[in-house]
Amino acid sequence: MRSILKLLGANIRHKKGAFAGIIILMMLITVSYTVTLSNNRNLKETLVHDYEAQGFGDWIVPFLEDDEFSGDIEKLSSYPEITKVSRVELSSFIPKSLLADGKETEDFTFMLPDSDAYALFNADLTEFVPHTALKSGEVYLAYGMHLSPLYAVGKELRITCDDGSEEVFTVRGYVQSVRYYSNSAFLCREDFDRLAGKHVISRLFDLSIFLKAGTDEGALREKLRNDLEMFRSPDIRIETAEDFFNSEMLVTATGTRILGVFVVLLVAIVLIVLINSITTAVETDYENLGILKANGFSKQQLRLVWILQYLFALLIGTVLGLLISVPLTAYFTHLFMSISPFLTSTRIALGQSLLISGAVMLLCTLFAFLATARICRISPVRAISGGRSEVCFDSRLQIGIRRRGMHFLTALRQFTSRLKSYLGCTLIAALLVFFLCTVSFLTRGINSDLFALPSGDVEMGILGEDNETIPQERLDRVVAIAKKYDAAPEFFTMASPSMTIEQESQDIPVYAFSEEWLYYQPVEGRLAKYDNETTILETLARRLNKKIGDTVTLTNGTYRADFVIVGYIQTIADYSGVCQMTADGLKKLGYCKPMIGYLRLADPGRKAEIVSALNDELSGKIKAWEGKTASYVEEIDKMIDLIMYAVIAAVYLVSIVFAAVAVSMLCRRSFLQERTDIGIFRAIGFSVRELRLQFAFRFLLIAIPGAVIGSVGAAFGAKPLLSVIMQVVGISRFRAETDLLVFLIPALAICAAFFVFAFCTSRRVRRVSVRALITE
Amino acid sequence: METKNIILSAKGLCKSFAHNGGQIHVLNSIDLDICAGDFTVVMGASGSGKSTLLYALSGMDRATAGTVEYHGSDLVKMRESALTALRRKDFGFIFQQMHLVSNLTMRENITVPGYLDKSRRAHDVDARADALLAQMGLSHVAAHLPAQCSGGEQQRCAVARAIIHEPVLVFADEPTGALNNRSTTEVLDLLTALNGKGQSILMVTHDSRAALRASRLLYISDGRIISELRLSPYSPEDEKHREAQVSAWLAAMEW
Repeated sequence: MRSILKLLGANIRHKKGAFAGIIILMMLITVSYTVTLSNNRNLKETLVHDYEAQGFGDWIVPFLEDDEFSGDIEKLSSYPEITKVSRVELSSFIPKSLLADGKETEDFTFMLPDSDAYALFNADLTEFVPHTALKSGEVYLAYGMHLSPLYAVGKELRITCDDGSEEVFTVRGYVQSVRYYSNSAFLCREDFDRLAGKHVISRLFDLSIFLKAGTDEGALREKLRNDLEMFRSPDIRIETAEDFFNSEMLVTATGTRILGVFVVLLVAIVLIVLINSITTAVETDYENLGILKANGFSKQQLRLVWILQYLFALLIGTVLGLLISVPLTAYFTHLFMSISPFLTSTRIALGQSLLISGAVMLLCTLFAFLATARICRISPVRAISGGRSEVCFDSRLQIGIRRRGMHFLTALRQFTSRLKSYLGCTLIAALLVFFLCTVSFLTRGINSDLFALPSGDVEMGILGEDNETIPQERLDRVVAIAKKYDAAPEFFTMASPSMTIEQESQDIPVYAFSEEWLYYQPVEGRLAKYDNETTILETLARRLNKKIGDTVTLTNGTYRADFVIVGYIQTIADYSGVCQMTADGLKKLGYCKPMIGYLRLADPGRKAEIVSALNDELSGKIKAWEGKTASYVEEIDKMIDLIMYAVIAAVYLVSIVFAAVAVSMLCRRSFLQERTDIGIFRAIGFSVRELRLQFAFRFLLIAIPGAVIGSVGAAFGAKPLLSVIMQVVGISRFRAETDLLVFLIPALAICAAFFVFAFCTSRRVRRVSVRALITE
Repeated sequence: METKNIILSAKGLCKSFAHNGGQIHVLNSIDLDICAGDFTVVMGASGSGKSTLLYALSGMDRATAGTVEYHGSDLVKMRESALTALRRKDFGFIFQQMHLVSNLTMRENITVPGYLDKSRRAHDVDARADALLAQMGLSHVAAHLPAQCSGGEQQRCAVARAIIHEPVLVFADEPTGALNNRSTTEVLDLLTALNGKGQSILMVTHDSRAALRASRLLYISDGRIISELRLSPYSPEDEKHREAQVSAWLAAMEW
């Protein structure tokens, strides 16, 4: 064992470059998955913890407090599948007016009584501090509101009540609410009750239902629908914990999937580099290995030395990666808070990371074992008597070398002379280009269109008692009012009740628009035109195991109807499930009224006047507000841009570093093998720069076919791959504009990286002395 | 008189290597002038420093002390780029192991260094390469790779490569060391013919037959030139006399 350790030490000393290269690659891989897995796990842990701490169960049913179903709610506890039923109190906020720091605002939707279940942020919003009970006149705000200076700590919120009295509150800090993380304020019990008394708030609650583990949620839903009237009511909508978590984990889950693909590609690159490195080392150490064999080392012992060497490098890379992941996870957690409103722990997911590292190391060990098989074939006699056979050149390229383009042509000859040995390098270039093209598609395909909801310059809730049909006269009146201020207003409506599909526990929105063009464009089939047709989210169809032409059953309270699927749609906005049908289709399910009206104006400049006129003239029938379309879309685009820039920067950075390490290692191999040729070239008058240029050209030539293969692979494989990855967010057929730039930029980046890094790595040409050519 | 023809002049040339904490002095203050048109042959026992002297004089290796003056410039202090320029224009090298670039054809091995000298037109380089190939009897293997040719053909190609740019001085390190008798004679005839046309040659060799071709013989021992023998220009008719002369000289050197 001691002799093996001695050899191991000597090997590492003499092959510092290869050893360091494997360490760097493994470190990058470890950092990639550790940071992502850590952020993913920390967010999930935070959500689960807060969800439980804030009293939410497996099902959440939003309710009005004075609802008629109190008897049914009491009965719920008697079901063996239900372990607990509780309420989370909140209220909808409906003041006459609200001034925040002196400016009118409508940013608040909910008010909740404060509780120590809501974690309180410190002044810097970087960690939590012990929860301090609020005094009367103080509010905590949901974390999401800290971005606006109107709601900074110490600012004043002045509420005008219906009776004309004023209530003044001071912002005391920010808390983390798992479900109400924006547009929400938290008050002390005394203030909450007082505002309820003044009708500034309307009491609501989330009915929280806890289920026994292993409960068939669909069957229970059906059972409750049969037994209890509240579950037959069209106004009752069940939200499941699973859907909630999926929704909050959307970004990280997608990121993790994309990164998963990236890590697989990186591992493939590591394996190629590893095999190349071993092959080179066996070639350069041919004589030494022969001598060691002649001195009694068995082939297994020699292989063990090599395998241990790479395992050691992988282990160091893993440890370094984990260490670097600690500050990086904290950094990304902080960065991630701009997207997710949750402050999570910054611990690294050590267990998961070690598990993956173990798997990677196992795979690498297996490949190292296979690659070291050539050690077995070394003959001690041959090695000692003259060493390995000379490098074989087999170029069949007939292009002669001319003065013009001599360095390029020489590089071409070198490249074509040993095509096989460059296959690995070409494959690395192909993998990197494929991934960069895939990321380019991703950044092009993800835009606000995928999130978009119908919008208008003026939007309005169309009020009506229960499920009454809205008279056409009222809708005509809206248009008439708008026409007083705008030359050509367009008016359309949307209904989007939540309904049960195929006895699933989670309700899904069912859209019916007054204008066909408002719908998402179907990815296959067509939009529903008749009252027995529906278009559904493709990922939902897959989940239900339904195809176009199949029938799905939709249930809304006591109403139930079958619809034929005539098309598929895709959207991130309702990624867990959504249907489209005609307004007549909705009527079959007992739903008559449009919920939201949209006005599109020829001149949006007068929308404030239209809002005011609508609210005055149709008071009690509609509640209008200025559409936030532009800013909403802008915000989504900004958020997407931020994420995509970060993704592109990270992916390009890691890819370029990978290219650098891989090229450096492979260039070193060529360098070792062609030391004599380099000496000859120098002896006959080639300058160091010219020889470096030859190396650079050769690696450019290696990268070009790789870039072509990667681009072709991406042209055919990137979108299907992204469709698989994006299924989780409702995108079943990833679409993105395809033009030459999608392929050209990644291909150029990798080719340039190969050229530049080969030029840099080959600076060791300087160290080759011509005297090495002279035989004493 | 002779100083007028000096093309390379070494003064106090020393070369030492660090070894086990001490120094090994391979060249000990050598003074040597190489004159135009000379066929200088350096002989000596193994480890005497003759190859080291060749490296130092050709600028392939830097001397530890002393100067190697070429056209007023000291090769010891010359920048790498200037040395590269010398190799392109003024110096040619022939190695014992031929060292042809294995993935270039025989013709390309000759033309590629010729192309590096930008003052020559590519067309002229090609024409001279073809002429040299014909002169060396290599035309039939011009498109072959070195591995497809015999050792003698390869060494003749190496000679052609060394003179493609019409160098001032050709350095040859044991050019016949790896060749059989027939090939050795071919290469020596070639070098002799070149020298006959005025080409200056500095050759290191163990081969006494090669030494017969010299116009000047130097014997090196322990890093010093201890003896020199001047000979008349080589002619085959005179070979027996030269052989006796050289043998006597080498015997005096305890060769």
